[in-house]
Amino acid sequence: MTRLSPARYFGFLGLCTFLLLAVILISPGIGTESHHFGLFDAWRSYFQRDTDALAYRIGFVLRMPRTLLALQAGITLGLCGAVFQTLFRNPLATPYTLGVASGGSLGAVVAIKIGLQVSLFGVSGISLAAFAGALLVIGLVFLFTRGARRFTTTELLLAGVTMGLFCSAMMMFIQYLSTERQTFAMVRWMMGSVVSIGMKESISNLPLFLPSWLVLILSAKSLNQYAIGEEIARSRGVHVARLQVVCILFASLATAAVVAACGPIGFVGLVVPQLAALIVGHDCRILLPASALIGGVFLALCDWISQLVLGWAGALIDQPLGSTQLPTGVVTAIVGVPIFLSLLYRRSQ
Amino acid sequence: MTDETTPVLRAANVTFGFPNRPDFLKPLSLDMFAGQCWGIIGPNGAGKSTVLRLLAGLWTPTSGQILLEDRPLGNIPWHQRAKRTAFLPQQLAHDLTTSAGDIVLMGRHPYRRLGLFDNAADRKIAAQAMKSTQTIAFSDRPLRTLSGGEAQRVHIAAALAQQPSTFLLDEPTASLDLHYQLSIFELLQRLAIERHLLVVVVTHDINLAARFCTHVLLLNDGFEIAAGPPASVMTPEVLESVYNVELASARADHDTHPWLVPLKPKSMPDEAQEDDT
Repeated sequence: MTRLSPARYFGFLGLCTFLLLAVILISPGIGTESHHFGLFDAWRSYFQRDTDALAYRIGFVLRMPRTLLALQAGITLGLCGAVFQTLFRNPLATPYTLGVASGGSLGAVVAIKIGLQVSLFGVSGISLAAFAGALLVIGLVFLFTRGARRFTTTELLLAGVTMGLFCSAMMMFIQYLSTERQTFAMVRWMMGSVVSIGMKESISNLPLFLPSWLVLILSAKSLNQYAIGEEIARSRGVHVARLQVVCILFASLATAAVVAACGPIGFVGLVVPQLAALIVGHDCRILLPASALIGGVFLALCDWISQLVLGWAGALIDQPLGSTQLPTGVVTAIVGVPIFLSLLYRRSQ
Repeated sequence: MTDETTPVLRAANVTFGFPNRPDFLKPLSLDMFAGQCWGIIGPNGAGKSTVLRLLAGLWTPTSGQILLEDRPLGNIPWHQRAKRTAFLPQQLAHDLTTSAGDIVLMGRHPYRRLGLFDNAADRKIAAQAMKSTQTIAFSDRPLRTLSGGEAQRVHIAAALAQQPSTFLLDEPTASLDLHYQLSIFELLQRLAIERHLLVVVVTHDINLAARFCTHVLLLNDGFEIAAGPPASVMTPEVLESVYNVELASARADHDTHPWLVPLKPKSMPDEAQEDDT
C-alpha cells in the first residue's frame, strides 16, 4: 500500500528541511560581490556581532536576506501551485492562473509609468502598486463568480484567465505609450527577480506567509477528499464551498505578496508541484509540504545560479559580460525544465 | 440504534425545484427501513438523482423534511451525518494515481478529520471493507490502472469503510459489463440483508431493480408514480406508459421475477426531452 507512513513522511520532509537549512547556512558565502571571504569568516562576524566587518555587511545584509526571500517565495509558489492544481483538477494550473501575476504586473507597470516614488515601511512604490493590482484582480474575479448561484471552478478559471488577458492588454497599451527607458524597466520587472533587501525587510512578509502556509497545509486532508469528487467530499463532511474560498483566498494573498516582492517569477508554481508529485505521489498530506520545501530550495538555488552564471561564462570566454547577474525568472525554467523532463522520462520507462 | 419500527430515512412531503423549474419535484413521502434495498427508477429527467441527493442531504428540500433516524437532516452536523450516510455519485474520478487501498482508507475521513496518519483501527476497517468487496488483491495498485468495474468496487469499499447505516448510490453499474452489473447488485443485496443497511440505488436497469431490490420507487417527471415491492410497482402496463416503450415480458424457469425486454419506442406525444437531473 502506498499508505502514508510516519517514516516516509518524516523521512522525506526531514531531508527537504535539512536541505533548506543547509541553504540558509551557506547563503552568506554565495553571491556576486567580488570581495572574497570565507563562509566561516561570515558566520564568525555574525556571532561576534562584528556588524562593521565586510563579511558581515555582505553576508548578512545583502546575501542571506536575499536567499531568505527566495526561500519564502519558492515555498509559497510551490505550495500554492500544488493547491491550485488539486483544486482545479488541472495539472496546468499555477498560482498565477487566477490573474494574480497579471494584476500585479499591471500595477507595477502603472507605477513605473507614472514614476511612483512613495514607499511605505521600506516597501517600494512599485511593490505596493503590484500588490494592490494583484488584490484588485482577485477581488474582481471573486466578485464575478460569487455572483453566480453556484460557485464552479470552471467559471473561476475562465474569469481568472480572462482578467489576466485583460491586464496583459492594458500592460501592452501602457508600454506602447511609454518611453524606452520606462519600457525597459517594465520588461525587466516582469522577468521576475529576487532582490537584495535588508534583513528586516526580507522577513517582513512572514506575518502574511506563515498563516497562509499553515491554512493550506492543514487543508490537505479535505483536499484529498475533494480530489476524489466534489459530492463525495461533501457527503463525507467536507465543507467544499468553504474549502474552495479559503484555499483560493490564502493562496492568492500569499502569491500576491510574492509577485509584489519579486515580480512574476514563472515555472516554480507550475512544475515544482508536479516534480514533487512524481517523487511523493498525489496524497496532499505529503504533496503540499513537499512542494513547498522543494519550491523553496529550488528557487534559492536558481537565484544563486542567476547571480553566478554570467561570472562563470565570462571567465570561460575570458572577457567580462555586460551585466553581473541574470533575472531569477530567466533561470528557473532553463534549469528546471531539463530536471523535470528527465524525471518524467525516467518515470515513463 | 434503530429499531424495526423507526424508518432509517423518512421523507415527509419533500419538494424541490431548480431556478428554471421551481416546482420540479412534487411532494414525496417515503419510509425506508434498515435491511431494505430500494431501487429508484424512471426515465431520464424523472428526478431520480434529485431524490437521491435530497436523501443524502447534499441538497436541501424547498419544503418538507427528510428525517435521518428521526432527526431532521438539516439539524445534523455534516461530519455526524457523514458517519450515518455514505453517498456514491455517478461521476467519480477514476484517473487518480492514488492507490486503491488509500482510496478506501479515505472513507474513514468522517472519523479522523484531524489526525495526520491513519491508525491501525482504520486500516483494519478498510481491509475488511476491501475483503467484502473482493478488492483486497489490488489494494496497492493506483486507481487509474483498474478497470471500471474494479474501480467502482473500490469506491464501494470506501463507502463501506465509512460504516454508514444508509448507503446511497447513483447508477453504480452505469458503465459496467454484465458480470459487474450482477456482482455489484449482489453485493448491495448482501449488504442490506447481512449488514442490515438501508441501500438506496438509482438505476436505469429495471430488470436488476426488479431482481435485487426489496422496494422500488418509480418516478416520472418529478412525480411519484408508485412505491413498494417490485412485483406491485413494476407491472408492464405502468412501465410501458412511463418509459414510453413497448415491453415484452419473459420468464425463465428458475426466476421469480419476469424479465422485461424493451421492444421499440412508442411515438412521443411531446417531443421535448429533458436532460437527466
